[in-house]
Amino acid sequence: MKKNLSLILLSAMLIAGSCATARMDAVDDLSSATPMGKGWMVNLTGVRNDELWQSNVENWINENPEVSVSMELEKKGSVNIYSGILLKDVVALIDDPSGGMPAEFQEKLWKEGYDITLTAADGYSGTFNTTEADFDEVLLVDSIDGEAVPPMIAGNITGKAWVRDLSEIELSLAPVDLAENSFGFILDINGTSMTYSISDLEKMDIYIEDKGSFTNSHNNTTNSIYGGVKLIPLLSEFMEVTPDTAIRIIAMDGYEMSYGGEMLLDQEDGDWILAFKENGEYMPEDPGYIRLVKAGPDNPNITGHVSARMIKKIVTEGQPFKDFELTLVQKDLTEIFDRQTMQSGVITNKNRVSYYDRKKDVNIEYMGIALWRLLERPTGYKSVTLEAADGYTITLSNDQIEGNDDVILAMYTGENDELLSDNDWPLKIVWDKDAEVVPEGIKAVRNIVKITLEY
Amino acid sequence: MKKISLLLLAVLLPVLLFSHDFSYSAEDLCDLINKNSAGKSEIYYNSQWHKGQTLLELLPLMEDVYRLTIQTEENIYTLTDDELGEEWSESYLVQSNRKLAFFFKGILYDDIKEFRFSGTPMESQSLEIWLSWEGINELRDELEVFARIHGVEIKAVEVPRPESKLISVIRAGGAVPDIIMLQSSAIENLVAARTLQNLNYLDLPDLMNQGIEAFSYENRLWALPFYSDTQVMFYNREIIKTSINSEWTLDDMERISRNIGDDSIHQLAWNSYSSNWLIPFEFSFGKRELIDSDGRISINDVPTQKALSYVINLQEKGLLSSMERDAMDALFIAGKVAFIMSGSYSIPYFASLGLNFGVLPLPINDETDLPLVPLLDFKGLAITRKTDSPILAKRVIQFLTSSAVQQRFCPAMAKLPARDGVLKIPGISYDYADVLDKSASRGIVIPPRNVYGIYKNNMWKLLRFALSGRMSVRQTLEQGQTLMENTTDN
Repeated sequence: MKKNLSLILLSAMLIAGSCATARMDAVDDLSSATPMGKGWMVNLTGVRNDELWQSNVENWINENPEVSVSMELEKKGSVNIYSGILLKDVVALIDDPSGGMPAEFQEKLWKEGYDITLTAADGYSGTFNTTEADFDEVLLVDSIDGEAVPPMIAGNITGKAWVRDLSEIELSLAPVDLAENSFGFILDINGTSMTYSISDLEKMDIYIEDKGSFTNSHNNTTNSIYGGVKLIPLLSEFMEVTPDTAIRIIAMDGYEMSYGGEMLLDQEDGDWILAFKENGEYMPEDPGYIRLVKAGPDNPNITGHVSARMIKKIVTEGQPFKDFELTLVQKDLTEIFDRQTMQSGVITNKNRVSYYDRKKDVNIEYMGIALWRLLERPTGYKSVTLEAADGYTITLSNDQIEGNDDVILAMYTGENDELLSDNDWPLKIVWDKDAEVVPEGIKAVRNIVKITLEY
Repeated sequence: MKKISLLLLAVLLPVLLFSHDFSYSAEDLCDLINKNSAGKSEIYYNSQWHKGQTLLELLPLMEDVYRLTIQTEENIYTLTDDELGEEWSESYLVQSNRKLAFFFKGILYDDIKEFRFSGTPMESQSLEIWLSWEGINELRDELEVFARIHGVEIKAVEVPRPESKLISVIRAGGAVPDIIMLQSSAIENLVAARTLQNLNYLDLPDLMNQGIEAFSYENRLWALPFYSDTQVMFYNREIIKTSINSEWTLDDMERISRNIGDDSIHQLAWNSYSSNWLIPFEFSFGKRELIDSDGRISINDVPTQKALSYVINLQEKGLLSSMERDAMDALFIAGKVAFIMSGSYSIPYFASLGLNFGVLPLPINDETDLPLVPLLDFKGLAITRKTDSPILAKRVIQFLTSSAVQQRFCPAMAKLPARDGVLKIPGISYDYADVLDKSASRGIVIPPRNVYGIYKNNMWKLLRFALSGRMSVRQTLEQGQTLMENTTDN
């Protein structure tokens, strides 16, 4: 039974959490270190990891009222109306070993039985088996008698599972035999490919286990003990890694991130590792099976968006890594986004247009991020000025770019999503030949380095 | 935006009745007290000690209690609080002169006529606890009484190394116990492996601060301290016939040892290869912290240099024989050693053998007037994160850490109670309780950190070189510091 609500949740999350702005807290949303919502948050751990935010549930209910459920329940002598969503709809996000999207609640697994461990913010933790409860009678509650409450579990279920101020839901469905699974990690060095299983990697003498952490832009830090292979020694078996080396990491979901050798060679506080164990356990498909982290005895800390997860392939093509900076000016606030930051946002959204090049009379495919999504978070501006490296500017009215996915800031071009040529590098504003709204005054400006919001 | 209140009530369950009301007359309660198999314990009020039993030992096991009505001869008191049940293990019924008194949250309710409460009865009916170290049988006895009173099943399993087994079981996806007994040095590993739930949600009874410190890591409490052992000096009364003041000094120790005058007797013996027996000397020479604020252990410092020099000097003077525990115990039992430094856990063992021995706190360092500072080795009770009986586990831990159980278990096993004040109860005090009390007041806890284990392992190798004369004190400590830096860096 495919569920519409899952689609709605997914779309709500994409809308709310997508790279609508170049702020770090939005563009790095593919890293689980980064908040994807507002209000309370519950960590979800099952066959994959996820986070459930208050705003996710609100959006979900707002878009799809039928997912809201209420029960009249008695606890400690008083009868109240408990409202929220069914726990099974949350479980659906992390119970599907096939990882299909939209998420599908695995009713058969629930009936066969597995453990759900519920942990409260104060440390209390209780576990029940799914065979002990009917999945249609257990709620994740967010209000009692209409009054908002921190998330809690309630319903026709054992009292020990009535966990208030819920902070984590963990299913005992974590993938088993991950070390022996069929996943193959590919190392592609200048056209020569090698494939490794997790157990191949674990047997290497460059395997280490040590502390590592990452911090998101909301200053939430995740600390773990990571196990994995040191990246630089692994690459160094086949190539010389220099500060100019460019390394492209491709995730299982197609997400790509480029890294410069300079950053990866900086190992003063720890080693960059391809981690596949977290706190002694193999990581599930998401954020694993392989994740890039920094580890060492000093518990090195990195920003969340550089920690690529679900890594499938590492490619080096002998091309030097070229970084760039995009400056965003809004009133007194100036923000600068580097290539990795922009790249993570672009890959998240992947807005594509077919631009008609009038001079050459050809259609050229571009991929990037819709301008309005990049600028979604700032509000109240009337127009946007885009400036090229040579100082050339165009100004577009916000009225004509708001919600317009046909106008994008492109970073890639061609069928294979190659980086822009030196001529256009690093970013180019383009629009779709069939765009419903083509903003007045727009031109295909290349070498864009600065965006200024006019109020 | 639609409001939730307008949304469809998709499911309307019939009202579920979890709660129950309970009512007991004074006669009922007296019957319960008289039939109850748990031993009575001491409770202090009205300037004197009384014998009573806790509600947790008498009344049905509850998940929660939210209303309590106490009817006395003169008044009716109604208390409402969701957390009333958390006080059950600290609340006593005392029967005297055919009257019943109830001591609850510092208030005495005299002449009870009726006792009513409302709450949720315990749903879980079984629990598994892993036990280790001394006193397994005594603990099993306590748990059996608790299980019998409440009609629950408690499986108490002896597990020699419970911490490492728990990690193995969790990694293998096996069934975890609900409660595990552990020592403080295991905490960091167990927390990293996500095996325990933090117990910050518990209302803590009057536990020793050192016990709380022993099981606190990253500002969270991971186990409730149950008891501790400490380091003391044993002496053979057949050899040392003079009386020794508990405020004795290292000079006293050396003087008495020199006066033994029998070459077949080892004057002093302890396992000086272990850093556990160097640490007390380090603190007596002025060391202030075992683990620095940056999480590292300093080895090459002046107090440690002086401590190690002193121990080596004792050995060079022919007063100290360094030997491991088994050999030391065997010789002490055979009457071949005058003084040994050992753990307080040996007290019941030596007593059971009928040895004529005495126990002293570790001596005071004449040079600094600071005592040798004993390590406090706490054992605690933790609830596993994946327990399926968390509330029953909580009640069992409350029972085991209650003053009542501490009053029974700790004297029997010569343990330092984790509860404040237990040693002060008249009639509870036992042989050497004053020595243990003094040691506890001077002691420091074994830290709940992995770095301590690294330090112990590194020093275990190096101290042998130092004590055998193959390395100087300076070389030993420099090498130790380098080893610590390298090990912790790696």
